[in-house]
Amino acid sequence: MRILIAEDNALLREGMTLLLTRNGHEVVATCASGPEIMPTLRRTEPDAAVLDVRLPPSFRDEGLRAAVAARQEFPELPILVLSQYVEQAYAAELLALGARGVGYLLKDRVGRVEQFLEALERISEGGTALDPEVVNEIIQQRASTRSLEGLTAREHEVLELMAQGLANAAIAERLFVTERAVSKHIRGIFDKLNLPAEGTSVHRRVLAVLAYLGNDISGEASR
Amino acid sequence: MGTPPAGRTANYRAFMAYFSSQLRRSWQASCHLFFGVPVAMAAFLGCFAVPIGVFFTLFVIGAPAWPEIVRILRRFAGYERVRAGGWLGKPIPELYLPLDGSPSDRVRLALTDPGTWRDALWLPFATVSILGFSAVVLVLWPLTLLVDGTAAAVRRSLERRDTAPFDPAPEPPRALLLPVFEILADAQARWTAALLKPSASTKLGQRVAELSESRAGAMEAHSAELRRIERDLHDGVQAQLVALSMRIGLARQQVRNDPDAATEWLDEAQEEIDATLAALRGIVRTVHPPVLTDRGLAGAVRTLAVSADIPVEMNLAAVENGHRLPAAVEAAVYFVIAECLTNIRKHSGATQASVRFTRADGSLQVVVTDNGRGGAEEHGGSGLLGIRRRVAALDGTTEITSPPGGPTRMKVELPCGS
Repeated sequence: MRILIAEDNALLREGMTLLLTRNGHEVVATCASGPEIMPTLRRTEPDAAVLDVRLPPSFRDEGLRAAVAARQEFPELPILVLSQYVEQAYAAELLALGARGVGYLLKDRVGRVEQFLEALERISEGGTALDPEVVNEIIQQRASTRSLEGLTAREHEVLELMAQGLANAAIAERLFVTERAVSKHIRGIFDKLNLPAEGTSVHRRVLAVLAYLGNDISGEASR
Repeated sequence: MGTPPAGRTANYRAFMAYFSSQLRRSWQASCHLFFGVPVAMAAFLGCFAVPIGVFFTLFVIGAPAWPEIVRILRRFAGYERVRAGGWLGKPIPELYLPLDGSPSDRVRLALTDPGTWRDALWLPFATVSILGFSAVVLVLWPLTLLVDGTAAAVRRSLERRDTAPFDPAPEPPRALLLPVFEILADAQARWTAALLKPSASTKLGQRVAELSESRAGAMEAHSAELRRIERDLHDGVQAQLVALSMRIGLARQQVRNDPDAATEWLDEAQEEIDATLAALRGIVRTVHPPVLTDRGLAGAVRTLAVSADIPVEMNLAAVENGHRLPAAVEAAVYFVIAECLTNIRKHSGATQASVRFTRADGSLQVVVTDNGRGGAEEHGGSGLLGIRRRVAALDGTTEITSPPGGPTRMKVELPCGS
């Protein structure tokens, strides 16, 4: 994959470049500030972009804004947004662009090389990657008001991984169970929560689960 | 027939009601002045006691007695303050330098307090004004009863005879001399207030003392906050990094002989790193939530509303674009609203909440309400105590009303410059 990285911290920029090239990807360009991103994207036309939220010159949410702008200009470009901290509202803003090929992860996750690469892979194939911390926070908050009590512990785990954007095979691998078992759990969850019949694509499934949990997490940001 | 028309009767009744209430107030004014007579007599004695006291103090013989004299003088003036303040309907503030320390300190303080000399000046004034006004009142009462009484009687008989058609008086006539009593009592009380209220410089001194106290409080809160951060970094993050280093060291030792064990140590090390990063994020969040930097207060509050799970109506105009506040105030407000929304979600059962900001006179007011079941407890870990502390540290105030059955309303006011 040809990848663009926007990250102002030289240490992390180098580290990520090393990590990606070692694993068979090509880093076509790196940006150290927000305004560089769009011109560089136009020039290099990468297969995916990895953007840090906080970038110079103002050190606010340039990366997030660049993601929105890039989405408008290159709707098919997979974008992974990395951040020092996660905010539910930011996740909502990103998902408002459509869950296809969008990721929002804590920078910490880069250290888990396999999982990070898998997430990047997933996004580049049109999937979704949502940080476990965001998902966890949403589930924690909604658990009291929505009927999640009926779910078994295992179904809970499957629900979380589903909301993070994992496909059945990946969920099976994480939980050390067979894919068939995962499908069974998912059917159980969809039945108990009265969600529309499963079988649609993974990123649609993410939105359905989040919509159920978060009331309207993706609609909120389109104010 | 001699029955007066209805309009006239009403006029007359109104006049009599006015007349009797005026009579009552004049009587109260006279009583106020008369009750002052003992005060005036004592003040008369004081006019001599104070110079004598000063005289003895100057020649050291009676120096220890001086603070005692001043103490009595203060109590005496205090009594009159209450009396005059009661008459005026607004208390007269009392402000003295405290008389403590060594005997010589006490003498010095008693001599240098400007309040002492204002009180001393008040003594002859009280003697003259109260005695003089009381004498006037004594003479004035018979005269007043004669003049105003006659006028009322004449008026009454005129009302009886008059058979002229209804002709409402544009302004009912007023009593002539009765209001004078009130004027006298008011004047006396006002002059007393002017003489006995603390001087501008004393008030300034008091304000300085208050400000240094609240500043000291803020500094104390600030230091406590720094100590907490220091502890969190030392006991938390630093310890975690040490544990991490140990795990990597163990992995290094075994990487040749037992690669499997080394991998296990590295796995644990990575878990330790995740925990450390999470702890660090938690600390940063309590110091200054990053979303405040990204989005400003209004934007940050909006992100809180997104994760609130119920509709939150917001009025953020007062903190919208270009209205940045001191960072500490923004952090405190963010904390308060986050805490409130968490409480609402967890305890209130509300289906709606609102957050409103208003700014006036260098302060920011935040009101958070919900339509839940109310009965919020200050104790029992609902976070309300934390809110109070955080707000008080910035010299602000917190008001919570939460009757059983709701609704709950929380008002926080914080000073924020201009």
